[in-house]
Amino acid sequence: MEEVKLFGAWPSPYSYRVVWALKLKGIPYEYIEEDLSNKSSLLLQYNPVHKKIPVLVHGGKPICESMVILEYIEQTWPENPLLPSNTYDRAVARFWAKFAEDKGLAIWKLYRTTGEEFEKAMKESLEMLRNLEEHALREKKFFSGERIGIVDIAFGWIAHWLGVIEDLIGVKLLEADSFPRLHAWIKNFKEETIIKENLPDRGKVFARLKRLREMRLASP
Amino acid sequence: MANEVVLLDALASMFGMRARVALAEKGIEYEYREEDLMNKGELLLKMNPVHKKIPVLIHNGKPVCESLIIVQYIDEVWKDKAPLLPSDPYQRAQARFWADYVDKKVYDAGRRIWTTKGGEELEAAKKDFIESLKVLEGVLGNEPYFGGKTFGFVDIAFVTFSTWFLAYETCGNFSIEVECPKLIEWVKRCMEKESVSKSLPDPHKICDFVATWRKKHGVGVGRLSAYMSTVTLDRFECVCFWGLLSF
Repeated sequence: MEEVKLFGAWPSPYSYRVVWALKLKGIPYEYIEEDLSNKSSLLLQYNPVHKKIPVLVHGGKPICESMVILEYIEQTWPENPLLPSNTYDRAVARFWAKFAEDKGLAIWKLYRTTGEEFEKAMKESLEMLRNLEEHALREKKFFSGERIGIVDIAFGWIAHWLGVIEDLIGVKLLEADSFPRLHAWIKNFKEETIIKENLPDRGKVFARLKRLREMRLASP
Repeated sequence: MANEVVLLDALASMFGMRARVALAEKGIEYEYREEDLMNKGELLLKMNPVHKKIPVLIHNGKPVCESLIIVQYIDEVWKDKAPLLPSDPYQRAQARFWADYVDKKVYDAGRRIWTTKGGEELEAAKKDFIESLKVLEGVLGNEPYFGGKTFGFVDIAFVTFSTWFLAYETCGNFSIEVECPKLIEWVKRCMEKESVSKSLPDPHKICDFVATWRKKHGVGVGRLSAYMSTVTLDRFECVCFWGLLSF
């Protein structure tokens, strides 16, 4: 098998999406930690367009954007599938994965905004969570059914990073009473061995986001 | 099994056009339904409760939403004709990457061009827009299509924006042909395909309601007045101008 390398960064949930996918499929790879404040020339060479992690390099060829990488991994290593085999169900899975991409951004604004911008981000975040609870998860154990799939991976950050943001801003978005299904999903997701063993240290994530928040809110 | 295909769409939507082109490429018969985006129909709200947006493809009663997901779905269901995505995993990943780039960079900058009042904001939007087009022109290289020798996924994702080029150029006072001549050649090449030319509305129609929207919102009209049609845009405007902001 050709060599697989992953350029990632420990604070990034996007990076973990690829880690989880590779590990769920049992694909051996070399992990390269990128310092996001001092990006390597290799990363910039592999991702000249966005200059971001994660980047998967397979047999020397780079693939960028986490959801594009996940689809590539799924097609290249079909064992332990992350996408449904039925064409329609695949379209639904892709819909929710895109939803994670488009709507997830609001959550990341919560810890670095105040005032009107913060209120707007709160509203959008709650709406997003409501959509997940009512339309995406329904009565299933995981978004993808009985086993973890691409949609669970796409929303993995809710299971870990959201809690950190809630602590930081002192506001609970994901109340157990209002979001019983999502609460159950978080518990199930984090109990999966591959996920449990591949999450960043919560304290470290908190410290990093706290620092970023202070820098952001201090600047004019 | 009977194949019932319905497309909920809005004429001016570059996203809706993608679905139209893909269906035409595959020769699929379908029912086109124009949505009044100022007064969204029950069917649209039922079929896309999350976003309430067009396009929505309804295949045998089941909805597929988001334009690029619709195109992929069409490609997978009707796989025996005119493949839209490459079969090679790496080429497929590249196609997905560049279609995503169009959504992230071209759409946003383009929209800023026609909605902004002018000055620094407009110049910044133009700069970003032209930059993203030049990147895409580089990706095209010397191939006839983004799909290489054949028309494919990225071509579908991007060519629909060409109906909006005239509007962008007029609002921004620049020429895409001057900045990216190869892209305009590529557009013309795509328009030679019936699946494209029959799916895309006349760019002057797009200019018409951009002009109407701008007049309504007190955004610099002058340059676009030449495109104001003598017939008041009523339903088309209703269908399109809110749609422009919400699809």
